[in-house]
This record gives sequence, C-alpha cells and structure tokens, in this order.
Amino acid sequence: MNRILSLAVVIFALLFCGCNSAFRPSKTQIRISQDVARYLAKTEMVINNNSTKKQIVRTVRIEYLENDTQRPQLTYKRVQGKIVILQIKDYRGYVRNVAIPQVKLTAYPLLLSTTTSPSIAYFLLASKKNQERNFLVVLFYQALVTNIDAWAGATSMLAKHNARYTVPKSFSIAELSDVATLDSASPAFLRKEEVLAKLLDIPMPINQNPTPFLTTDYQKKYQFIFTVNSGYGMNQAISSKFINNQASRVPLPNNMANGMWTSYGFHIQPHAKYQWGFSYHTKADPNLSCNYLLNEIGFLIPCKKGNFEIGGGLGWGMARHIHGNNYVDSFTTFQNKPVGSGRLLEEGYKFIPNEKHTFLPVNVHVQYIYPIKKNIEITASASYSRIPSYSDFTKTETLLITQKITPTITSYKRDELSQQQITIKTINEIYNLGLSIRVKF
Amino acid sequence: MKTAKILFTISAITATMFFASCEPFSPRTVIQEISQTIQNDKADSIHVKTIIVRLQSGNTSTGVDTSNYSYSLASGENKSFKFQKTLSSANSNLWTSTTFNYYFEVIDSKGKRDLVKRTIATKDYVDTKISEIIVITD
Repeated sequence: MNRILSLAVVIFALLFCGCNSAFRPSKTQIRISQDVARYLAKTEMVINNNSTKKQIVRTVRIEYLENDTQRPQLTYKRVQGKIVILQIKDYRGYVRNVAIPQVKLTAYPLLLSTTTSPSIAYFLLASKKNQERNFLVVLFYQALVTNIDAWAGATSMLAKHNARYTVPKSFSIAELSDVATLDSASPAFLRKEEVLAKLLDIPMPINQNPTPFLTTDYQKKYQFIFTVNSGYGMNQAISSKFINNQASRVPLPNNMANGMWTSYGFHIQPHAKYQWGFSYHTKADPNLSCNYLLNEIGFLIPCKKGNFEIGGGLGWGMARHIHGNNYVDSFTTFQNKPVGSGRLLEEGYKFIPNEKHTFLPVNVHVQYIYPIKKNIEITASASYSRIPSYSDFTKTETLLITQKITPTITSYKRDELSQQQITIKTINEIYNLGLSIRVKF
Repeated sequence: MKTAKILFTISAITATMFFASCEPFSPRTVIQEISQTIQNDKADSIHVKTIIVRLQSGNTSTGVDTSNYSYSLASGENKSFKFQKTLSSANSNLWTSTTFNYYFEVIDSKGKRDLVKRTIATKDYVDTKISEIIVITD
C-alpha cells in the first residue's frame, strides 16, 4: 500500500508540478488579429531580447492555431527578458519596433529530492525492521540523489534559462496601427521629431484589464493565502492488521475517536482558477497525537460571489498513541500445539506509549469560499481523509507451569518464551465538516 | 563560478555523509534473569536451609560455586534468590550459560522435614526470564 501511495506522490508531482524548465515548451506565441496577420505577412520580423550586454535575436513566424485561419499568432523561440522588442521591416525598408511583455514562470522544481526522496527516506527511517541497514541506505541514497539533483538542476537551469519566459496569454496585438512601419527613410519623417521619437521610444504595453494575478505592466503576481480551519471529523475504521506478519489471539482495540481537527494552511494562488500550497492538520485528542502536512492543489470554480474549490492533497504525517490499556489472556495451546496438563500459555500485551509512526495521508476536499472583506474570506468545507492509526504493545508469551512437588509444596514457574514489540495498524476514513478563515495578501 | 562553488560544496557535504555512514552495527545483548522464591503460606513459621550450586560453562570460563543459606520464614513471608547477567555480542569470549541447582530443606514448627530440589538453566544466545515460586502450605 505504501508503494502505491509513493507512486501516487510521484504521479501527482508529474501531473501538477511538472512544468519546470526541463519540461517547458521551447516556443511562445503572441495572439494577433487577422488584419495584423495580413499586414505582417508582407514584412520581415525578428525579436531581440532588449539587452545591451548580449543581444539575442530570434526569427518570428506567423502561424495559425491548429489550422484555424481565424486565429493567427506570432511564434518565436523563447528568449530571456521581461520586455522583448519585435522588429518589423517591410519590403520598402521601413521599420517599426514594438515592445512585447513577457512573464517569468516559476514552478515546483521537479527533481528526485522534491518528489520521490522524501517518501523513500521517511519510510525507510520509520521502518522498525533493519533500522541500521535502512539508515545506511538512506545516507547512500541521499548522497547520490543530492549530487544528481544538484548537477541536473544546475544543467537544466543553465541550458533552459530562456524557457522560463513566455508572452502572457492575455496580451494580443489587435490594431494595425500598433505594428505599421514608420517611414524612417523619408526626409519628412526625420524632420518630424515626434515621429522619430515614436520609432526610438517604444511604448510599453499596458494591460487594460489587470487582475490580481497579472499587473498593468503584464507582470505575474501571486496571491498568498493564510488559512485557519476548524472542523469535526467523523471516523470510520475500515480495516485493521498487525504489521510485519505479527499476530495476536487477544483482541486489541485501536480506534481513533471522532473529534475536532484543526488545520493551518499557506497557499499560493498564481491563477484565478488554481491554487496550491501546504496545510498542517492536527487532532485535538488527549489519547492520540496525530499530525500531518499536506501538499495540496485546488481548482477554483466561480459561483455567484464566491468560488467553489475542489482539491486534494498528499503528504506526510506522524501518529503517536499516548494512552492505552494492557491486556492479558491465557491459552492451552502454543503455536497450535497443546502445552500439556498443568501448563498454560499466557499472552500479555503491555501498551507502549508515545511510539511514533509515520504515514502518507490522502485528502480530498470541497469548499465554498465566500469573500466578506477585500482580503478576508470565510469557507465552509467538507473533506475526506484516509489516515492510519497505530498502537504498540510489548507482547510476551510466558509458559505457566504448576507442579505439585509434595502434598504441601507447590511450584509455580513462569518461563518467558518470547518477547517482541507488535504494532496494530488501523486504516481510518475521516469525514470532516469545517469552517475556516482565509486572509489574502 | 558561483554555481561551481555551490556544486562543489554540495558534493563535499554529501561525500562526507557518504563516508561518515560507515559506522559499526550496534552489538546485540542477551539478558539472563533467573529468580527463585520460597514462600511460606503455612500458619506457622518454618526454617529453611538452602544450597545453591551454580554451574557455569562458557568459551573462557567454566566452574562450579556453591552458596549456603539458613533462615526462618514467618507465616506469609518469602525469600528470593535472584540472578541477572547481560551478555554482549561485542565480546563473544564472555558468552556463558549457567545452570542453578537449588536444594531446599524445609523444617516446620512441628519438626517435619521436606527436601526439594529444583533446577533452572539459562538459554543459549536468547534472553532468559524464568521465575519460580515454591509455596509451602499446611
């Protein structure tokens, strides 16, 4: 099961976070109108990176989106720079420079250290079996992976540094006057200083419809969100088993009680329809300490004044059972064989408090986000989480022998045959209804 | 140059981790615990003579030693003889197994005499936790 969850973490990361430089497309596009496309078809176009240090020039082509002649676009190989210059030269040699805005993309770095390694290291170190060997494996593995990532990450960043810059989708060139070349060769043009200024002083593009995620100068903006949530979780235990093929003939309860859950979240919203972040969840229970950190992603659907968010998360958690009972029972068999007359096999289970167990929690949630002030929102949420709970016992198997030596002398002997730590694991499904406050800045 | 310095630092740290990981495994320990108790559940006191013969065998040490005890136990009173030893795999020369022979001579207030012999031995290479209570009743 742990392997399936680890695989899910990797797939999750690949699906939602796989947009770092190594995976980004090499080209970017500028939407243009048909009039502009028809005009530019008769010109030569290049893009330069607007840098005096090392100028990079790219050729620009007109393309039609998926063979749709109604939706032309300019395409060029990506180049670094927040403003690049589109240089247009018509057949008469007249020129025009147009400033094109670009946004710098940021994303979750997709490396071994940030995807598979935390899960692998976490479970190897948390395993109760072969701890010394696991510790060595983790050290070797981390040493190897850190080196691979350091070199691969640096290589990717250097080799693909241009791929991080793209033209925002909301930017377009619709007016012919924005791209029409200026008669720079004409003596009349040179006399008119205001026209010359038009050639040299290229106006910066202005975003007429700024959003919380794209500024008036077409720069990307993020919203940061702090969330405090409190809710009541109803628990349903779906299965229990002893880990490492252990067994018990004495029923050992391992329930997680219903109760209050609190969470604190930090999310980043880079887009109107998407947010991601981390949330820390903790259960208010005097008998059980259960905390977990989720890496969450959510999609926002506008609904009236607010938004519906549908999201999910995977993460890492730690559970610690604080209080528990001891159990004992005796049997007439040991390993399915009778122990003989005058003998009993005692199975004793002594609760071990505060044993730490790590796990991978899974969460799916739906919430309605309603703004009450400019930067403050309230939410009502329903979530489903899958969390294991653990109880640890020292299991002792003791042979009890009663022997009548003489009518007045009796021997009572206890011979401890085995002692081992056993762990019972119960998978819980928690249905949580909660309220939260979100502060945006 | 800055990138090269960062990469060199990361490589140096991870190489140190790599070689620092060559730590020895922690040695295994075996615990031997043996307890013998005599309990007087008679209405009157009893007098007990106890001889404990300890036979020890091991890689480097073998031997026999004997201990003698003479004592009285009032009604409801008991006396225990406990043995505890921890063996470590770090020094296998010290691995030993021990056998205890307990000889009890019980004389009650009326002069009635009972002789009891009990034997308890340690287990090889695994923990031993054995306790015995001999209860004397009317």
